[in-house]
Amino acid sequence: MMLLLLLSIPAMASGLISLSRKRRVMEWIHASASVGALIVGGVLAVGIRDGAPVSSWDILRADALSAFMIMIVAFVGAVAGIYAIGYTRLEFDDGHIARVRLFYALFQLFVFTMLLAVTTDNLGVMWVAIEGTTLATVFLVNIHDNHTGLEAAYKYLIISSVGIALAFMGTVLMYYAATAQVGEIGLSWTSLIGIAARLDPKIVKLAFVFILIGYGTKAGLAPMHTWLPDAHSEAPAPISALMSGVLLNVGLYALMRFKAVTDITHAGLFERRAHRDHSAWIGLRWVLGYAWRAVPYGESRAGQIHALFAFRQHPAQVPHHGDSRRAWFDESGAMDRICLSLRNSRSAGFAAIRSVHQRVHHFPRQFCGAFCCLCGDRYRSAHLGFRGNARKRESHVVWASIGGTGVR
Amino acid sequence: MVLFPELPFARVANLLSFLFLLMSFLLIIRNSLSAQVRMFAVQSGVLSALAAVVAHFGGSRELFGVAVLFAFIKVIVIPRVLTRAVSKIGIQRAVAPYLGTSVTLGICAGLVVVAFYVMAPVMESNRLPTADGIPLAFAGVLIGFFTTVNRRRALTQILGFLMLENGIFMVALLATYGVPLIVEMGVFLDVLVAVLILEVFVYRIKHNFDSIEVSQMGALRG
Repeated sequence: MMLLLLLSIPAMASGLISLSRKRRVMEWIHASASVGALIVGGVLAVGIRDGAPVSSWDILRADALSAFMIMIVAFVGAVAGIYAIGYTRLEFDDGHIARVRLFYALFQLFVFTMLLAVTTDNLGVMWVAIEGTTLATVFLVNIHDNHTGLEAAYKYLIISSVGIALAFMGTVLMYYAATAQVGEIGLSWTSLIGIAARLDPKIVKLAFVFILIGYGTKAGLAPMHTWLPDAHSEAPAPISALMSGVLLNVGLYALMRFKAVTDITHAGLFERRAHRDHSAWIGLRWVLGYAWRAVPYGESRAGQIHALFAFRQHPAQVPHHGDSRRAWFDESGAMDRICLSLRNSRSAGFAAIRSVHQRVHHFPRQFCGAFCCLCGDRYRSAHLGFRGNARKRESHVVWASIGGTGVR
Repeated sequence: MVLFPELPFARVANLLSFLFLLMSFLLIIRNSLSAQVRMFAVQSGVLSALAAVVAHFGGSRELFGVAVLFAFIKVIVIPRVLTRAVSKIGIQRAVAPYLGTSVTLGICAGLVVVAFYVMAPVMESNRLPTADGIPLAFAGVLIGFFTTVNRRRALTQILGFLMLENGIFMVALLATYGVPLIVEMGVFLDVLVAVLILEVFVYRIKHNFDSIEVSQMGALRG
């Protein structure tokens, strides 16, 4: 029941905002939904920590990993959400009320899809929700309706959709592997993990390749990450914060769910060899990612790597791009470490614990989203000057620094 | 391993699978956008017929509903949306892919071979009479993916994405008689919304860059 409540808060807020006309009403709904989701999510997470996984019907289910994700989504959502109010006041005057409405409604929809993705037990619904995150954010990336925003948003939509479609291919194959064993399973993760040891290892491996590429796109893993720096730097600062702070984690969360199944399936006969096989993918990706991130900082070898990846624009060339891009590089570093720990872990349970530990360990970096807020502020004040009065500016800085405490 | 290859069900399913792949090939060699959209509509029609056949022989009423909904969305709604976009944009000159037609055809033929190789474990273990079509469906996925990366025009990229989606739907259909209904509904919804959003983007790209060739957009280097 709590799960339903948690999901209905942003969903209803999104609907109400798109119906309301007054700016103040929208802001109130938006703020109370953001804080409300944080409170309900907190209560839920504490409850799960003490007891068994919570589930309602066959579709929703939250265990400890979900609880962790709920907390990240709700917390970053609340911080970015409240920051967003000041941001939009500065950005859009009352002449652009339609855009303000679009912004708040899509913001809440975005939070809703992420919460649904981490609280559903049905892998198909999880896919639908993760594709939904793309659809909800694509207009937010292009909210200023300029050339670069358009380019970033189009690239984001087409790459993410194609990538995610491949993840669906993997989900279908996983479903096939399960139905070949036990008939109808309804595509739920709990039943899949229950029969994981009996699945056909070849098909599971094939499925996992698709899953890795597909959800890896969403988690910003190379080589399907090219949408990421552009979309992050073109999106409004609060959305940028949510993307790098949470959205990538949701992609990784999906990957972890499937990895748990794959690990169990391959634990028997093939153990070491098979493990090395699919962990080689992650290892390769780690090396690639490392080379990639070396690009903006590299000195002597940079030229070669530039040519290799056609990465011609130095992030520092464009100040506003540079800041959010650099935040992305930090974020990508955190993703690398998590992937590496996933690779090294032997069993499913251990994998979850290790990677969660890694995430907590790199908590500051996970919150470089807050850093994006700061960047946004710097950018605004540099380019727009002090539109709005001094008190508004102050409240900006206060919120940004509350978020910024996460950075260090 | 098909147990009863002599059944009419298996034959009809195979025939429709071949038609599906044929439509993919016809789509990639067509040059005008409106012809490509028509090919896509025919392909979706073939696919919904296949879904109806599987529903009939498999005795699933749910799947029948999925077939009808699929036909409604992918044969009527989405081609209409795309045709409207084509006529509004109003350019019908030859599409400029990165690779020429003959090279493209060669690569796609290679992709069909790859599909047979990759789907071998699925074919081996599948005991449904529809198993023979699985590699063809997967070839459709690969060709759709290739079309998305090979074409410069936003609209053709969208068609490539839709072919990819069709292929995945067909793999699910042939290998397991379709994924659960709730998932299917969600996927349809997502695809429909994605196409509507992409249509808006095509207009905006046309408006901003005065062309729908995505190579015009090169300011950002991700």
